[in-house]
Amino acid sequence: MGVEKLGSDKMVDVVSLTIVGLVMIMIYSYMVKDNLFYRFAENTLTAIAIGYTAAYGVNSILRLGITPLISGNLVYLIPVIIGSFVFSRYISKYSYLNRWSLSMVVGIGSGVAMRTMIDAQIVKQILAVIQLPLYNVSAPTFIGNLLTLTSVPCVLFYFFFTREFKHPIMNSFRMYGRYILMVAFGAVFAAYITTRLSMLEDNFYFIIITWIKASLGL
Amino acid sequence: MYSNFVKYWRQILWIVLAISIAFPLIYPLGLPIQVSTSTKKTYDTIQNLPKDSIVVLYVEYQSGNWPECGPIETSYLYHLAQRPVRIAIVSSNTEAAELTRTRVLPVINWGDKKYGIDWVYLGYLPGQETGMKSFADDVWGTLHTDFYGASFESLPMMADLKSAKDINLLVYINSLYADPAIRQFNTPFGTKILLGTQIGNTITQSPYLASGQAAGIVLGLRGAAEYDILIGLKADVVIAMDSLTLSHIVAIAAIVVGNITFYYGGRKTRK
Repeated sequence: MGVEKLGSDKMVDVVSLTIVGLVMIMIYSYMVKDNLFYRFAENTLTAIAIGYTAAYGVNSILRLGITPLISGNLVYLIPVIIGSFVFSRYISKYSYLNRWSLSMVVGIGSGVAMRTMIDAQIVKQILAVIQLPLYNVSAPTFIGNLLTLTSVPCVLFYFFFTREFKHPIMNSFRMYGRYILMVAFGAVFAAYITTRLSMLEDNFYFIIITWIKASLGL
Repeated sequence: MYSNFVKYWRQILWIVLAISIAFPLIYPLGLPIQVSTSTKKTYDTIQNLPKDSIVVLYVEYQSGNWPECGPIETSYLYHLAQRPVRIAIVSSNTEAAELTRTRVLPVINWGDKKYGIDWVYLGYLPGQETGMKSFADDVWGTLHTDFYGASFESLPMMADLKSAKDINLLVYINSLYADPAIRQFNTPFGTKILLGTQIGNTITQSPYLASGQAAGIVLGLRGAAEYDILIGLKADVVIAMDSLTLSHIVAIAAIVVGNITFYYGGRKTRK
């Protein structure tokens, strides 16, 4: 938004802006019905994204793997060979090697994420909840903190499925947790609507301000 | 009339929504924007950075998230470029890397900042969180050159950026999860983190602000507009807020009308 400024070669910019605008309108033509223009724009977008990813991927392999290898750092031979096993899936006799590469990627990725997950996403979050102050704070903060302190255990309690709780007080905690979950899901849904409306607004901004107005010199 | 409304409700909603978004773009309403606490906190964090601090701007979003993540990244970088800090920009997503290079970097006013001394663009770093961990542990061992192929030895700024211990502030622009940055920078190294994400991720990422693991957060297009007001940037996102406000009013009205129609339609069926 707002970053497309017509450069010195105005005709080239007008043509490129027109292409982008037409592609946007092709995408929105899906609202009428599925049509050839929409499919063309959709496939073009997919192809461009894949093309960019492939180009960046090749550049990364050369920059981060092959170049250090050529300059004498032989330890890079190991990841380059293991990485090349990914393409073994196209040779049926050696396609099993592909699983080695993928398992390394998945295993290392999981290990890297899990090493600090307990502290970062569980312990610190629990500490943040139980350390919420209820005194020497303003009224809105007190209400918010009290709501958090009561809601979190009730929501967690809602997910106890190992036994049935028949006591009315226990059940009321679970119902309270359920209502809090519903409110939270509603808030998430509203936030996603906002995101989608922002994307729609950005498209309208491009069509009205950047494309039409800028091209006409208004 | 009711049956026509039910039959063409999608088209009616689309037309009303289109008018609500397009009208303020042509005739701006100038509705006031109140800056939220989280955005102000983010702004203050950057304002209070010591001179010559090293800030890493880490971007990870896709082209479909550009409408929200793009303005956030632009606002952050515009502010950082005004401050006496050194900036390194890196991306773990190919689309974000290309969008940063072609649409963000050209519009930033770098002032007296020199490339290689005050800021560097490191380009695409593959591997998602694994690449992030490698970068945090050993920057020079992970990326040997910047995006343009210049070796780190030739970039004076990189002499002071060897690992996450040298990073004074990490600004993480993401489209889905802040967890990788928290796990790989904040938890092991205690790196101060500022987040920027779509407003749809408010529920999942605001807890990091509450727990102190993130020092600030800029949420969506609205957050970018608030930030632009704070840094004195008269950007188009501020104008776009009028459209967003009217479209939200239409969305709320549609929900209310939808519920009334559902109730009325149910009564009609029961009769």
